[in-house]
Amino acid sequence: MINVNLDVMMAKRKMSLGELSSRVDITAANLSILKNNKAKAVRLSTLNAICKALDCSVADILEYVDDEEIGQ
Amino acid sequence: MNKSNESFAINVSAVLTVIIFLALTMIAIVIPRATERYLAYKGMGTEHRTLIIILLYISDMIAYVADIALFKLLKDVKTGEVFSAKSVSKLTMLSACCFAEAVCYAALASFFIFSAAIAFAAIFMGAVLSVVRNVIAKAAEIKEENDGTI
Repeated sequence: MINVNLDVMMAKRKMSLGELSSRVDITAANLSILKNNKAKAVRLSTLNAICKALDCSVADILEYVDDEEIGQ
Repeated sequence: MNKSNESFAINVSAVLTVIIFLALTMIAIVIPRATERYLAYKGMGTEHRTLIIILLYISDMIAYVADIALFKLLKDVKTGEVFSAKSVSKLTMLSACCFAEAVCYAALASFFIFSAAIAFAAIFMGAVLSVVRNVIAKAAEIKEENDGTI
């Protein structure tokens, strides 16, 4: 599964959800859905905006974890 | 199609379902008498009278269920909840009601030949609603995916 480590990056950059929301022009509700791994898909434009706002790469935001490892 | 036209169309449909509900109530009241008069008019015996009346009442009840499902579906459309599991289940119910009516009227065809035509029409309507149900189900799936896309 894909883990979204948005909260980790936001903490590193000391940015609140509201501030990030205004910077990337996505509602705080939708960012919260993304942050809590509830999103079904993410647009590339959204990833682009988030990476730009947090000054990070995609790998800092998205992490692949094997489902079997989670089970163990 | 602007919002006022849409709203008007939905309200007209809602009024129609209410009229149908009242008509079904009237039909339920007159079924026994109408059956007797029809059998007398056609010169048919009264040995199957009870069975015919039971089948007509079953058909009337099925129509009630379908009418209520239609009204609830219209309510969902009015609140904007169109492509959802609720709408799909209501369409499934409507399709099932049509097939059930087809069975009733097929059974009545042995007494009234025109019932065969009604049974065929009901099967056709059931098939159409079944296809529409599948379309809405797929639309609901796509909408859920889209809603979950950030």
